[in-house]
Amino acid sequence: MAYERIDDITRADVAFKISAGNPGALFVEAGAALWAAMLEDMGPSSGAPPMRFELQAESIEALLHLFLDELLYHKDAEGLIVVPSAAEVELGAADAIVRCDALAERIDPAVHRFVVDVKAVTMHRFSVRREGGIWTATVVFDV
Amino acid sequence: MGKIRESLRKISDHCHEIPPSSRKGMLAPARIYGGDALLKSMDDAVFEQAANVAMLPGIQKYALCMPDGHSGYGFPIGGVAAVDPEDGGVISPGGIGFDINCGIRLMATSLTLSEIEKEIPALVDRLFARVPSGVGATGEVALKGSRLEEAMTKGALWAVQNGYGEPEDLEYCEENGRMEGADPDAVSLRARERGKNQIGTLGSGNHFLEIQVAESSGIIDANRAHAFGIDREDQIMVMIHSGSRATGHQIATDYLRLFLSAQHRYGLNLPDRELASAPFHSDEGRAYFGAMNCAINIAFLNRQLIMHSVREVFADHFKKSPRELGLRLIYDVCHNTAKLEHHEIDGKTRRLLVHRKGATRAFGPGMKGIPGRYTQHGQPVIVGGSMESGSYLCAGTASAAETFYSTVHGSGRAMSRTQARKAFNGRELQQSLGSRGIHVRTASFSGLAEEAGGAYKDIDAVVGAASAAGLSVPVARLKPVGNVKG
Repeated sequence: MAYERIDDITRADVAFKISAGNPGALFVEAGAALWAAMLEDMGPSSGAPPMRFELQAESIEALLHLFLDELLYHKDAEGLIVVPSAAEVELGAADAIVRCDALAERIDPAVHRFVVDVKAVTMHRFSVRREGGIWTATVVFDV
Repeated sequence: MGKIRESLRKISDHCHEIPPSSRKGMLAPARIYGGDALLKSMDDAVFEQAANVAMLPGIQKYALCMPDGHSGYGFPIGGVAAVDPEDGGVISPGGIGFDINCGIRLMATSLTLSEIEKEIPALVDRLFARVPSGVGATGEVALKGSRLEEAMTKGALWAVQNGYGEPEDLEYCEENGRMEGADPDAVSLRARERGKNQIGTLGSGNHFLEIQVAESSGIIDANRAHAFGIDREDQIMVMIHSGSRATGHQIATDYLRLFLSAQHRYGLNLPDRELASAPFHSDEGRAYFGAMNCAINIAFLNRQLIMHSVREVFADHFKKSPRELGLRLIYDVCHNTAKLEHHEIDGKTRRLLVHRKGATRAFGPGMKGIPGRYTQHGQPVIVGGSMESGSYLCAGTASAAETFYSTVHGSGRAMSRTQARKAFNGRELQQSLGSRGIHVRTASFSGLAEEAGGAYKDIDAVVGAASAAGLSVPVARLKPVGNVKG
């Protein structure tokens, strides 16, 4: 499964449709889409150390929003490109939890070729759905 | 449900209206400014979003969209809405945008193009090296703890008090570079951390730092141009476009999330989640207003620090002081804010919360809040264009009461970013611009392609439409000769 850019949602910003076979894979792909919006070349891996984080929200939609916002937080506050490698999503009756394994590369302008910065994950047409066994999400990033 | 564009009715050659009967829930008409060609270039979402804005509780007179409008989130870009807090009026982060107080400042110099034309490539290189731009760039002033809180309440004043500018700079900023009502306690730790290293950085996307020339052929209103500080032939100007950086982005995100969960308690059920709102007089509304004002101040501070760097670069390059080089701030305007202002509604003066998202306050001559030197000419309005097409210095007029004295802020995009990257090549564009005397340095060539002049509307048409509608008057066209792109 994968992500694809959608060009008819917004003129000034960047939109993606993301799909995967399970919620965890959907979160990993969404993280990849976020970095694809910003970076045209990740450059070679520096052998960055892995990191693990856990987040909780009241629904899977709210959780995906929080998850992507967390990646933006690490970028700006710590200068890290946090690329999710695996994620496990637990869906409860009243909440949702993600446990994510990621690689955290330190931003190096000599290595990482950025196109634009993503300022925020918008709620514009933001959605997470399960259709016929496939999980899909629509995400618009403000740049 | 048919396309709402079809319900437009003509008010004048430069204004069309969506009547409130077009959509259930509209509390006021929505007015879209611009002639037929500009309206045709606007995407359908502009009209949908303008109609949705007309559903905000407490809205007064009209939901408005300026001639540079294009689709946004919640509000269209170019959207303006005034609500009465005493009449159940709400505050909506979607009416301000994620880049709170993204804005523009324009500096004059006493230099002329003929004096420094050969120096411009080197000057652009030095500015590019001195002013941090692009993703991951960090500023030289890292603010934490009580110093950050002080900066959030003082804005550009903090910079001046700490040696980054002159006291007279403050007079030439909207709100004197310091928004009252800032409440650092309403700003999350996450927002503080995200932005702590970015103060004094340009950012990316459509943010820029540009050397421009006010050619004599571009002077439209010589009297006002002279009053604003354009007083010699082919005068060199410097324009800075940036905002509140990640602090503002996170404040908007935090409160969008909070309002989405809280708005149902207030019986608010707006048709777009990006219009999530809270009554101005509610705990959530007051907290967001206090946090947003902190972001407004961070943006004023950010542009002040960038201007200080520009002064240092020019002073070092030309071996003269900024004062000797006439490096004076003409004005600093905000594009993304909600402010409490007094406006007349049906003959009565009321205190309204005016949301402007991708729109510029444009107070007319004699209005309070304009620097004394400009009083009789109206507030300077700086309209940022692309690095190819150029920009404008305009002025507010007395005839803009209908838009709560608001006007355009830029060209407005005509092409998506993906379309622009397919249509233009960043390196070729840089070469092409260089051959036309526009020297560009960029942190990203793909990003440069996305900001090509062809990706934007015709700025002459946008400024002309604003003038024809009586929203602002053009004073001078400013031609780019050097550009630093984030």
